[in-house]
Amino acid sequence: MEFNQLIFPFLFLPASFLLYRIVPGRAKNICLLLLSLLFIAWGSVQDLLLIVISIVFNYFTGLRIGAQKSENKPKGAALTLVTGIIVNVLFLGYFKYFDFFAGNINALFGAHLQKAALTAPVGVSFFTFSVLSYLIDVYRDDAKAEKNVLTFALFVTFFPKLGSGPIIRYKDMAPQMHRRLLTGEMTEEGVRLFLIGLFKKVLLANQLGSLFYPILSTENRTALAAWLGAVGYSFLLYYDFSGYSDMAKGLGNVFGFRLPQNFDYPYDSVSITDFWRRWHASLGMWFREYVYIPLGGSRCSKAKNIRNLLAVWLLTGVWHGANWTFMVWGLYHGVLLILEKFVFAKLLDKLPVILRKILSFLLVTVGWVFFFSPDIGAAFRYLGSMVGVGGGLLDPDALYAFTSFAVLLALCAFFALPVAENALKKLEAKEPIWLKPAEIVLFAVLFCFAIAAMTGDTYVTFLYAQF
Amino acid sequence: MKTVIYEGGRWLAVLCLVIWIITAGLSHKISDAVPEDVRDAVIAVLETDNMEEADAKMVKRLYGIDPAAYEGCFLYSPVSNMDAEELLIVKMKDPADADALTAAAEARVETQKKSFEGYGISQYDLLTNHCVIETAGNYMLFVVNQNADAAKAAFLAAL
Repeated sequence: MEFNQLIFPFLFLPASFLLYRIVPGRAKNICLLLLSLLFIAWGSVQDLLLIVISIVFNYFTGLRIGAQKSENKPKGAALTLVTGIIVNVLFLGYFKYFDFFAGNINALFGAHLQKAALTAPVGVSFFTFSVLSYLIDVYRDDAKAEKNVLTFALFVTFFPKLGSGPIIRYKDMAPQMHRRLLTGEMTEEGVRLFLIGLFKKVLLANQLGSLFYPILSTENRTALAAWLGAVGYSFLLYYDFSGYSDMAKGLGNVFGFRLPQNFDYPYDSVSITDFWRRWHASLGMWFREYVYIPLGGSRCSKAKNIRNLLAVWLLTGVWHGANWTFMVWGLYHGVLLILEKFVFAKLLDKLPVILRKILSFLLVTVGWVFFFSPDIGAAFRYLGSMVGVGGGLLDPDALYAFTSFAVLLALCAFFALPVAENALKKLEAKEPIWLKPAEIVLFAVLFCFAIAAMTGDTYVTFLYAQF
Repeated sequence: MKTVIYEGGRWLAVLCLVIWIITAGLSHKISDAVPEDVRDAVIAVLETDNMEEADAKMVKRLYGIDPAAYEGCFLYSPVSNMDAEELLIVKMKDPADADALTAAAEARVETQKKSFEGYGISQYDLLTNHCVIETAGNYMLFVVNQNADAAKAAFLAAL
């Protein structure tokens, strides 16, 4: 089940919310856990089984590390942590990367390793990183080992964040699992965020698919078509993933949780460094906290700093999927960040802000070509077509697509900037009496449009669910 | 005592995972069965009056896939626009294609449901309640038929 399937807003969510409100305080966590397990099992019972195995392993590993720390056995705790990390990485690697490695070994050495053709459990990359942060935090004494297995299971499976994050650290979620307030304001804010997310996914991202996918499958595309496709994909991915994140955050609010903000107008960034503070912030936080800083971060020689950046960005690429294209995409961003930090810093400071924003957007858009291409060759062919190689500059089909999608692209560009939000904040400061009813009507209309689109279209899964 | 429980719990979970991987590996094993034999085994248990064997062009038109990309591909499509019975069996060269084939079959079901929604009650019932999409290792089965469950059993037994 996903948030943009009709069954979710019309059955699962209202029933869950009612049930959650009815059960008494102490049973609320158990209620949420059961709902989360049902949510997983609805998609696949096999996924549920695998997630339960992961929960059991990490629950006991956390307790073991905690016990060894309290018994003053640092070496034992370190060994338990290392085995915990190895088992989790192998778990993730088996489901996500086995076929990739088998294919490459077969190609390199002429071997005949059989591919497993496995379907990874829902949200495997997200919940594995969450439990890794838990084990490391317990080892570092940043968090206490959770003694209640049901509370720990809720941390792993909490359904709003399970599928595509945000990746939340145990130490940030633990206080909320033990004590939280559910106010009317939080519920209202949650519903509002959920509807904004639904609007982004169903009315923007899904519609952009009609522009992007036909262009991607065209052989000899012109430069205009290639740029239309690339820009379309930039918005598609943003509205798809930030839409999910808004829905997740909104659902968290509805059940009394404050989940971290994952997106903050990334296409309004003045640099690539700025972009990565605003795009998928919870993943950036994870790599900074658990890889970059332990490696030495920036408090070391320039050479080591460059090595640390490249290591982090290679891993970021690998995290996204089992394909060379993701590794190239990760390294591309790593190299851009290194150039920005060590070579062009002064030059960039002198450029007008608007130029820096446009440059950042174009560099990110070029990077997405590696992200959406099925292989490296296809990515370079696509990049070639962006400069007119293979298909020329213009063609009637691309011009027709441009005119057909111009309004949608303009809307996407408008909502990608904080203009509307800033204007709304100014308006709210004046407290006009008509604002609240107007907002309710606006959200009701958006909801109706979204439901109409969900009913008419074939269901489209979230892009980040595959990572 | 606590140490025994903690370590025991950890390694019991790992053992469960290893068992799952081994059993999943066996269930996903690559089959050497000849595609024609699998097709014959499935056809033998189906009502075939409303289906006829289709060519590669029809496969491309209905599913958007190229039969030449697979080791074997058989399609039995509805005889007329008023029939919903259908059978697709594919032997993949690369089992990783399973997701794409499943998506193609699901899209086909959705298209057919839209076609029959509102007036083709028996066809809609077939598409809703007698439709199987199954992948097993390097084989994929899609069937819409009154005997879809029997077809699935025959398909798995033939691999």
